[in-house]
Amino acid sequence: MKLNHLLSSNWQYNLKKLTNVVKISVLLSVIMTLSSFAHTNVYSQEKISVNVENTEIINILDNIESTTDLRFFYDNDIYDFNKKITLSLNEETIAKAISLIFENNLDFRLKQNVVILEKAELLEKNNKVSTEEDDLEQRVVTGSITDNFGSPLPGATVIEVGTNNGTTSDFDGNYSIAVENDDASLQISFIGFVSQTVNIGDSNIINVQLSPDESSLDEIIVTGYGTTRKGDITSSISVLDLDGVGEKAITDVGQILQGRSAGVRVVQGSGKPGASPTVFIRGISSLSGNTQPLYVIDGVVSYTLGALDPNNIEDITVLKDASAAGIYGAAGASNGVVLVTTKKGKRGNFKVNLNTYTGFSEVINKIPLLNNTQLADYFNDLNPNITLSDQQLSTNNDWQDLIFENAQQSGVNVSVSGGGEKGSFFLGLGLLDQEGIVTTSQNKRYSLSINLDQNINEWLSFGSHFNYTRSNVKGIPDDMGAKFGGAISSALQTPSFQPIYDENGFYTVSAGGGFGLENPLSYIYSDDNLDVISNIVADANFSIKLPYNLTYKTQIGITLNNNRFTRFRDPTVSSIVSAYGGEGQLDNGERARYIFDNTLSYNETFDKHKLAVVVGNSISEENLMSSSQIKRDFASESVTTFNTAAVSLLNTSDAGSWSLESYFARANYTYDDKYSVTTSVRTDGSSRIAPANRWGTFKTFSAGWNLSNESFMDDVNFVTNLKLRAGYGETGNLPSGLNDYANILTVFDYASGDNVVSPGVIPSSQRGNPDLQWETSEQINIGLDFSILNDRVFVSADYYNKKTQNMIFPLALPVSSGFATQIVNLDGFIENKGFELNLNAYLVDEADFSWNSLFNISFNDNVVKDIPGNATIFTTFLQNLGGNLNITKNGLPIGSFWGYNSEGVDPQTGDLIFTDNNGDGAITPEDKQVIGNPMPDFTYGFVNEFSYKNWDLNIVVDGVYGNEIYNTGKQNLQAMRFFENQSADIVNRWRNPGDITEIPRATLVDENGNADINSRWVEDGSFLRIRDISLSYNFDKNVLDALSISGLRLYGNIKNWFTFTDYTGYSPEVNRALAGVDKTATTQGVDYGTFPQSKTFSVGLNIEF
Amino acid sequence: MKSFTIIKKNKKMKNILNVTAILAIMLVFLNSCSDEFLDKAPLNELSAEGFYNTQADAESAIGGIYGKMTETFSGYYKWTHSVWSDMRADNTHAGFVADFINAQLHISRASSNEPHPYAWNENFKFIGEANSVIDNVPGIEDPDFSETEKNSILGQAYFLRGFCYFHLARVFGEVPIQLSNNDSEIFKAKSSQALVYAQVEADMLMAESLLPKEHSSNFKTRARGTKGGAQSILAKVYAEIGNYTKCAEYAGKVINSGVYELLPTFEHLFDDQHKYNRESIFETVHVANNSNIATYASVQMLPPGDFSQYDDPTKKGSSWTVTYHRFNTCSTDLMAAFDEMGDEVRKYSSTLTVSDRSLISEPNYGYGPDEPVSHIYKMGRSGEIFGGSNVMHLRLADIILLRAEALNAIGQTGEAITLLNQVRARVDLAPTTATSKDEVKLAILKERRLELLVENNRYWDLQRYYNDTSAFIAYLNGLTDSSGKSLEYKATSDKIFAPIPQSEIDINPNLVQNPGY
Repeated sequence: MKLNHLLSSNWQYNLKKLTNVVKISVLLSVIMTLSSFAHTNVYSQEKISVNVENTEIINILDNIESTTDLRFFYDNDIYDFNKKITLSLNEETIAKAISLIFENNLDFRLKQNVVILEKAELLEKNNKVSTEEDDLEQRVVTGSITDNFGSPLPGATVIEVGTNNGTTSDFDGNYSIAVENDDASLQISFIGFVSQTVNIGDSNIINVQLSPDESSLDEIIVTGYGTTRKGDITSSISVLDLDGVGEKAITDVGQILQGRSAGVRVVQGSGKPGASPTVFIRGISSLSGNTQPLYVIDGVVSYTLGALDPNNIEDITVLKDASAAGIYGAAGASNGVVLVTTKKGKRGNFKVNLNTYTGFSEVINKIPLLNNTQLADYFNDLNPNITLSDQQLSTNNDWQDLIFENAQQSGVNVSVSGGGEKGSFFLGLGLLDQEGIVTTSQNKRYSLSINLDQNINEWLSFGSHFNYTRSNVKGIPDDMGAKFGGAISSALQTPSFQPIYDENGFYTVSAGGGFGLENPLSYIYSDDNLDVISNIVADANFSIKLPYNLTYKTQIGITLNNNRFTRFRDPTVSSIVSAYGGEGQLDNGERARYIFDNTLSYNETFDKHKLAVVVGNSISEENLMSSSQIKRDFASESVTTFNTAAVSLLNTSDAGSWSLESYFARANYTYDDKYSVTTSVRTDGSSRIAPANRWGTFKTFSAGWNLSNESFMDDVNFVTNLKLRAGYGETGNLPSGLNDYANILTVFDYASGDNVVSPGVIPSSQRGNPDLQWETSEQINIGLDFSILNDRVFVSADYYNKKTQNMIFPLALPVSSGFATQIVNLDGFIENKGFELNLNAYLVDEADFSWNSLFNISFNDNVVKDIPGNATIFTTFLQNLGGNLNITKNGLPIGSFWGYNSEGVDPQTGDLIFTDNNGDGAITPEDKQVIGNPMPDFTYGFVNEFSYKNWDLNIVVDGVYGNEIYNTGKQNLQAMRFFENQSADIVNRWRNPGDITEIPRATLVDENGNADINSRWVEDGSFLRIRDISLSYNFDKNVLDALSISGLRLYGNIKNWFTFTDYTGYSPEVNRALAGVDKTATTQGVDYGTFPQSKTFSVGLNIEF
Repeated sequence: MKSFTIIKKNKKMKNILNVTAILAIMLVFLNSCSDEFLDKAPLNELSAEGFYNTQADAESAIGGIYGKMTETFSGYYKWTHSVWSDMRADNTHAGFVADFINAQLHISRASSNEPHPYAWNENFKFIGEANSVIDNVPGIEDPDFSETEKNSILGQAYFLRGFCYFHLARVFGEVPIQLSNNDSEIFKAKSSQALVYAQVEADMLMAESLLPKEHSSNFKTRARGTKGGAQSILAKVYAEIGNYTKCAEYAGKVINSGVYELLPTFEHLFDDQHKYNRESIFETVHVANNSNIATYASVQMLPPGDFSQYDDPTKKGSSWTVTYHRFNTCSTDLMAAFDEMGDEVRKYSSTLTVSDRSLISEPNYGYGPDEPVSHIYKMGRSGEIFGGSNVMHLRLADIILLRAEALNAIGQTGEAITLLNQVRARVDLAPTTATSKDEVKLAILKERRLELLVENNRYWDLQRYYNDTSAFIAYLNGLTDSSGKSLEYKATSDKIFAPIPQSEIDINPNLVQNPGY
């Protein structure tokens, strides 16, 4: 008789059903509830007292439940629970109570506080099997099945290979199977894990640890307001592989995104310590609104990653297309959504992890400039009256060397995590101390993360996350534009013969520079500034399991950003500052936002149908407050508080508030693991939109077809996991201003008497627009996933087309109308269409050598279409360099470069010959043309992870191709109009008629506009950067044992060491757009004297115990 | 039917109740999110809707315009007007290679550079602000708002609007005319210069009828639109459109109003100690150390370097050492004109000569390599970055000389000489020796040059004097440096007017660029 026949059909059924329960639980709570039943039990000693007459058993049990912590668990069919009995018990054990209540017909098992009632005969027989093993012909194999963390896996299937014989594991993960054959193999499988086949050999105890199947369709993926089984996904969602991130000395979360996912372009525009990169998902789809993705941290919509220490990140999922992101509606989901999950403790796995590293950074390249002799020659060219004295020529300062330094960097992160039977915790502490490569610049960041999870009982669980960072950033003045100084521009333009100090001991001021350019050291040392930025993202959430597979979740999140900026310009250092007795600045800003989400989710599987539904609502409100003060004339440079300053220059404050109210629903239905459809709808109302148009509704629909599960694919072996996806969705974007729809008045001082100032009121230069409404992006996405070579190579390809309509834009009005701008919804649209390809290849997977390779490439084509003719948009006003640089108009990508096309230098005049496009014989603004496109043709990333014995090597390469950069640095350094230092290239300038050269003449007046905006300053911005190489060594177990630790890893990491580019500026990654004066998306690809990036080398140690 | 529950049935009942409760809570919560939650009025700005209700509202609305005209970091009515009047003519040069100024003089494709956006953008902004007063103030129903007060505020709005259109007409010739902020047509084409002048005339006549001769305080009489201010601009308009009879009439109204008289000491006009004096018809008021409305650019008139190195202790600024300076280098022609007239008083008050050439590495437009270089001192006197110097826009001496010019033109040369001599006497100059109409005409031109240096007159004074474009152009192109070498102005007849800012051309499809650009 076979063992599994001994099990009642009923029990079998229930086990199956249990499996489903487990599956669903996994979907809901990632194995939280059922796997928490414990091995030890204090409840067996629980004392029970019952005193009833003629009472239904069900009520007796109820009574016991209400007086003790015990809970009963049983199948209704195994006994007549409505039977009335009379019973008197006083402080008896469970065993005694059970035997009396059920008259020895039922037996029980105790799991934690749950009393599982079973038919006595079943247990007997079960027991008999194990005790009378030798008497039977069948051999019985027992064991436990656990996951990779050692937690039991209940409900795992154990099948004897080649037979119909099988069983499932119980709540403790234990199984017992009577095998038919002596040399049997057991196949152990569990949803979401890689199946294992084990030959039982001589052993009767086979314990199996299953590892999660990350490529599996059963992988659980975090999506908006919930999770989804990977196999059910119908949209474009990218789960980042974060392997090796811990060894990369990464200073900012944005850097993690670099190179790892097609369609996600990360631009590290500034090398300033503390500077975050900008992230573009599938191009730029807004002219004026936010272009950055929406960040959702542990479910809290945050708009920034500032509160996170990259060391505390567990998972990042990117929702790229609208059908995935649409559930976030109008809150900026048009730019994609980045879902970040922070690290949590693992149950029963107490762990301390220490990660520490130290390293240094240095400037990647210097820009070659004129030497003193060449400078003297150039100055003389400009004005023959000028000759440099011998004394001047004896001074030779390399200002780049003077400001750049080898910068130290170190980081320490400690985390403590673990968990008990019902809960887990994670605590992370971090310190980053990073100097910048420009002397004195620095960022010190302190971070703290606390994550808690607790199951309060079977149906209620609680979680809380708290992420806090405090950064102390000391910056240097940079990114101020070409002619207005800043340390970087000044280091290039200050003549080498200029002394560091003047006769009064002040740093020198350039005599020749147009606007009183200070020397770079003056900018740096006269400007003692500190930006103290505190960021908090925190939430508390309760999850309640309800009957009918419903789960209700409520989450309250807060994001809090505080910024205190102090600056003191020292009058003893700079003569300019000395003129006004020092200047102090004190800015304070706070943004506080709360978000309150409520969702009800429903998950059910019946036969071949799977249904997951979530409905919910969300409200959030943000309040902003800032103040700024500037005072001058300090009593002494040694005290910089404002009580010691005489003159108040600025004393102002600002405030704002906005709110968002949303209702959303999503349903995902899968039939037979073959066909999936997902649809969602979200309705948003926001205070930022005029009342008449306040509400907007955003719908998505997508479908997937798992071809691999079709019977006609059964014989196809070279392709597996073949799946087609297609989706359509709408997402929204809000106007960036809080009250753009309103006609407002601004207040401005006026003299109402001699030395008496009163507030005057004038109309704002921005005209109100009561018709203002949402910006909407519609996106279609078609995707194909498959794996080949026995699941060794996974391929995912997507085509998308995103159209942004009702574009919110500050339309420039003719000044003659009395207004300057109006925020409007432009007709026409921005189209971003493209193709993305992700390859993930497990090229080698041997015991002591593995090689995993990820490659992604994305092509994006950005174009503006059908906007009104007068809405041609000019941006990036280059003061004194020729006006507006970027143009946005029909048929062009956003922010194309616009100017005269240079055909080269006229050998007769030494001036540039510009293309006379309209052939009228004169060069007029009508001759301007597109001279460059800041958008790349494609971007790519290539990550290789090697593992050989104890060694791991991880290499990240990324790059862009086909974009152009407008190099204002070059424009300054080859303007040849001012008494400033210039590029070494200008030694080849035109000097005499007949000279054939590419560099025009030096001229003070520049009638021809050689130095103005023209194609000469446009350069190819393509680059390939070996972003990151990290090599780590994992110490052997014997070493670990000797040290009583569980892990020890030593690593070295180099960043940005090799860059292949033709670009002549400091770094081909330029993007001034989102930080400086021009905040609109229409200012792309302009190099503006920004803090250069650095290359970094570091070594680190990771200890775990 | 089989059931398999982790909680017993009656527990389930409780939970159904729980669900119901939670759903109810959700519902309640959702309902509580009323429209109020999404109504967020601006916290940092005033909403225009329903603002104009009281006299105080009207006063702050007109006050705001004066405030913006004195904005620290703006330009036109602080100093860039002198680029158009004096630098574009023969008085001054950009002392260093500030491309946005020199470009104006020399380069045909200058349409994205700075001084004309100052002139265009600021004047139209002020016009929009004045329109807001004209649109809204008549509707104010405030019982405490007297008709006189209402007329005064409206009159000032007409005065300021006309004042701005006057300057636009001078600098750009043809400009669009926008007379209300409620006008739905905002992409307007240009009107002819004659129509713009007609608009100035209409606004100023309206202002003249609404405004008092004097306000309640001397401060307001000098710093606000007045009948005299409107008449002064009318006199200037009539002069520029060639109606010297009316010019003389309106200049006469100002002179005979009894409100104005020449200040005995010329230097007092600009020394910051005699603001709101009896000679002042209209001045804009700056407040020292106020970051919104302090003067800022006046120091840009000054030469580089520490003032302490200059001879005259009274001409020392504060600890001014920075290099935001030297926009207005005096031409050698101007300095020669002072010397030719023997005008020591005004030369001393209006210019500053720097002998230390090491401070000036740039070419100096007419000064030989070893010559001292003069700079405009008149507007930069306070030497403070955030100083409180007022800017004089209309004063009696200007109107006296204008009436002299008009009377001479209509044949009353004798009376013209009397007026001219009044102005000369103040600066210790002997009565003019000119007698014939032409001589007097030239004498008045020369007088105006030295009396009204950088006060927004010279270019148009020359234009009126020559009354012939090619002669005017020939004059400019004939200017030489001290060694007789041409300054190469490259002036042409089609650049009499400034270019419209390219940004405006880009935005407004109905706007046509001025010829020559």
